[in-house]
Amino acid sequence: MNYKYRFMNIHLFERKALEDYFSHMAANGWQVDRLRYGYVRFHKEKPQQRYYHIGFHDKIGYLSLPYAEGENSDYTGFMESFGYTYVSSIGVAQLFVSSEDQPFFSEPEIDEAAFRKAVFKDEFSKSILPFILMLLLFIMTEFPFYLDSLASNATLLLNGMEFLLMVYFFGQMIPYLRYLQNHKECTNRAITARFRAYHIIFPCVFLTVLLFFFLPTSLFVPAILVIALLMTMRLGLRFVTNHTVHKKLWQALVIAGYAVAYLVILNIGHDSDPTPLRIKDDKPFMTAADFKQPVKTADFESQQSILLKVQYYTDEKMSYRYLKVADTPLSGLIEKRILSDYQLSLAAYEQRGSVRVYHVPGEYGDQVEVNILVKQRNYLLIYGKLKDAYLTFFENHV
Amino acid sequence: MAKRTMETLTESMLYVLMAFHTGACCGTDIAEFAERKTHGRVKIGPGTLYTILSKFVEEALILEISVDGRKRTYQITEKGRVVFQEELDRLRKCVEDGESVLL
Repeated sequence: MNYKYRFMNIHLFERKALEDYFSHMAANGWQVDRLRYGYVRFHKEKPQQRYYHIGFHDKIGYLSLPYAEGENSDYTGFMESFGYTYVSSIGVAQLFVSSEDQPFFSEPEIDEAAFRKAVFKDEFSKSILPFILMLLLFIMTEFPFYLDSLASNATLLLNGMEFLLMVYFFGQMIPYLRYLQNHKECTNRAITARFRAYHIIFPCVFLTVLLFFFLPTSLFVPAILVIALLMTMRLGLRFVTNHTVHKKLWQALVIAGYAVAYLVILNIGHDSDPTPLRIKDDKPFMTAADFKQPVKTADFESQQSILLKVQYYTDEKMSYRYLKVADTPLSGLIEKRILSDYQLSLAAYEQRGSVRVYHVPGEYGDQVEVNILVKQRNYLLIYGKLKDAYLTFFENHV
Repeated sequence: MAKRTMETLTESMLYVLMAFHTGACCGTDIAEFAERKTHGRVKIGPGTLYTILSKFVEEALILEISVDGRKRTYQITEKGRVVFQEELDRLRKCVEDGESVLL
């Protein structure tokens, strides 16, 4: 059988738009076959005028509504006696089709209360789990002390999952917030499901890929703000959708916004090298004497410079400094450690790196634990610890 | 469903209860009755009708008396007749009040 897939989410508050879209597809020879999270499948049939209607069901009983789900339920049987055929269901929505254009819901006073309740439960259930997972992943990736035993790819994987969840969360929640703002007529707005798919899912996937591959960790939060801004612009587009005169202009603005964000993100991610800090009193950042095992410059296999971003906490605020460490023992130590532990070539991390320092005691010479996160263009290459590091202060910090 | 819908019957609810005064009915009977009685002015959609019937069963205004396959037939209870009569009285009073203003 010939199938066609459309990537979209089924939101109850877009019921009318979805019904119109499905009916339009049927007229073009594509009947809805199944509803799933993230996509709708159509199968090829001869073009015919059919009318789709989205009702509710209450399979797990949290709506206190009398609607049962599925092909064999009483609810479905009741609908069949009126000429409706059950198609598929997802969330608390279930889809019926009829060959006649007849009202499915006819009295807003009765239906609206049930509808609002169903919408709230539907959106809440879709959003709460990703939100909790997102928080957990955020904690896991920001405080990765317990990930020592995991492979370096674990942090990368967690970051990826976190961002996918964030995108999912924004994709689900923001349209719902819009619904809450304007719930009276939201089902009647002339926004098709295809429009929705193209303006939420694809940009989100695009930005996620962009973030994932190009952004340093410190820019994740600004990047999320950019996404929020774009989402807001998109909501603005929906707000003025009924005013067709402005639609094209607003759409152009959104596209321009994406383009600018793209350029800004790329630019921020690959800016020119910051000026390396001079070491106080011309002392090296860390001397070989600071380590239990003396390290000599001559021991290093390469003198290529790498740029490290050193993050640390001062007065409970996180700060960071860029440091060129080509000729310091620290770089050698890191190189040596990396080379011995992970057998990676210097070329892999010669461009950028980052070092996070946790639990800084605050006194010069105190022993600290350094978590190493070496990255190249945001590919996490190394996750490790330097337990023999000692704290030092930079000129700009003291 | 909002509780207040039971305090004052909506138009669809009124016609549903009205249909049961002709005898036991299933869903399609009720929808046909309402449309025929109002000459097409009131069309009760199945989604709405299902909600109303479920609520009426819950409130004991109607009673399910038979299940034939997927066809369920209901009849009105004494409580349902009282509610219907009270609603008619209320509407009659409304009409009288309105007409008294016009005179």
